[in-house]
Amino acid sequence: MFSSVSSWILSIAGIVIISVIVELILPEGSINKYIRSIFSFLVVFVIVAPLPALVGKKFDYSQIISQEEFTLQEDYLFQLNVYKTEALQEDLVNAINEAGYDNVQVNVSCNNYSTSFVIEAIYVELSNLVIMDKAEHTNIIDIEKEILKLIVSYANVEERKVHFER
Amino acid sequence: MRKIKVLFIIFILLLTPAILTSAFLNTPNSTTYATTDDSSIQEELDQSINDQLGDLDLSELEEILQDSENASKLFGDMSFLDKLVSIINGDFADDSSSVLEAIFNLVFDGILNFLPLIATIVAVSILGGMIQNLKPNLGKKSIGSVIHFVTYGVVIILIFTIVMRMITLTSNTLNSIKSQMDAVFPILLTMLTAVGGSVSVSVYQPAMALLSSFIVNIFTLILLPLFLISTVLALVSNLSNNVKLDKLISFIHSLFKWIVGIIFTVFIGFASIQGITAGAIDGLSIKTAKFAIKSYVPLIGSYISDGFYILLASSSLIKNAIGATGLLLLAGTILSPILELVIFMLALKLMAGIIEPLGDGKIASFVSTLSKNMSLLISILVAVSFMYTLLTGLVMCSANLL
Repeated sequence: MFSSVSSWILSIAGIVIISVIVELILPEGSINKYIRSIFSFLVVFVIVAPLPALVGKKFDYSQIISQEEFTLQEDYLFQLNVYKTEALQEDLVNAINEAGYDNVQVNVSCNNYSTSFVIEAIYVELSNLVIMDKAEHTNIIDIEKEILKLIVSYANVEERKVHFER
Repeated sequence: MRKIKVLFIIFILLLTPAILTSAFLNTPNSTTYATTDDSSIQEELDQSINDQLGDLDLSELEEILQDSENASKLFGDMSFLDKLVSIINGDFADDSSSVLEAIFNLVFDGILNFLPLIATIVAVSILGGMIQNLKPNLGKKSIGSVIHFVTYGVVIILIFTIVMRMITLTSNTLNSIKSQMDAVFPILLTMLTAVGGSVSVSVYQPAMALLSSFIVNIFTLILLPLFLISTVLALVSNLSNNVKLDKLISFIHSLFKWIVGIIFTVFIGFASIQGITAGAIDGLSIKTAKFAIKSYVPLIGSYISDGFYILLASSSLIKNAIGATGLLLLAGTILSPILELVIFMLALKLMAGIIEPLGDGKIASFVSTLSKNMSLLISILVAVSFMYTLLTGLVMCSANLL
């Protein structure tokens, strides 16, 4: 495609240069006029000649359309997922502590190898539970409900992903 | 021409605030956490940013920076990571005077470079014009044509040494912009994923692939040859009075402008509309997660949303800073070629103006057509970097925490 374009341009340039040189060499006279018009015809011919071949021709676009894929830096994302898991665990423990329940262990489990941070399950260990004065409930079932609500709204997960162990 | 000027101005306007505002990127975050213990959270944020930067692989960008002399000047001989950290910390505007100095140096160097060329060409063509006027009138026209032929040949050889240099300059700069895109885009996408902008990633990934392969290929494989074609035709067209190819040249010019215009409009339209929509969706999903807890426990909400959101906040700071530093790298790469091309174009226009009254009319028209052609080269560089800037700016704007 590109070589044919360059040959087209070169032939236009060539025919114009030849016509100029011929004009220089030829003596003045009545014949000059005819030669000029012949060369004008030739220039038009050279410009138009490759155009009919374009009709119905299939171009090779493969050189232009080359698909590229960007690969994400997965090491970084993995490390960040680990950080996020740790931070979320700490935040949840803090939040539960703030609501009046101490010594609760929260374990967030997620697929660190996926690029986005998706929580698979949250395990809450209530075996060492200490109920502080500011706590609203003392009944274990009510406590579970409150903690569940807290976790669901904070970590933005579905209720079935939160598991309790007493 | 007017279109390109307008484009250039828009580009500069877009580039400056994008870079300058990056200096203030960290202020909104610090005000959010101002309600709680300010200094400890700042420390925590710094710690988190340092941790994350340690995990990020920036080696490709460091290599590009080291290869480019002008960019390292603009970076004040800092490494990419150092500049990134200083942008995150907000000390960016300090070295604006050194940037201005670098620009002025480039401009004066360029003018001095082209001065001998202008002088020689003007001298040759005026000499040719004088001989043309003073030659004995022997009734032979062909002597005049021979003189024109010779003068024209000398002018062509002189100008084409520079034109070829400009073409290699443009194609090298295009390649360098492409390699920068290939280095910056994966990192930006990674950061966008880290912040949680999954919808944005699905929009920007194809847009970036399109820009860095398809569009850059069109510019190097179709538009650059079109420039060469119109230059060759301009050369041939002014050889003699008989064969004029001006209309063919104007066809090539408008073909060029339409291709650039269509690519530009379609790409920018799609990227910005889709990108802004996706960014809004991601921003919403990040915010709902953030405000859910606040509505549930209003008193302690701001305390709880620390740890996890500090991670997200530092990721989004790094994302924006990488965008800003990438744009700075781009500015360092394209500044000198674009200035050089603009100066060469203006020099050609000046030459045409000087030659026209005294010398040969055909040489003047060749030089002025060539100066119109040079604006095509400028528009190639400006258009590609504009699209790159816009895409980076969109990524910086989308999926932000606040």
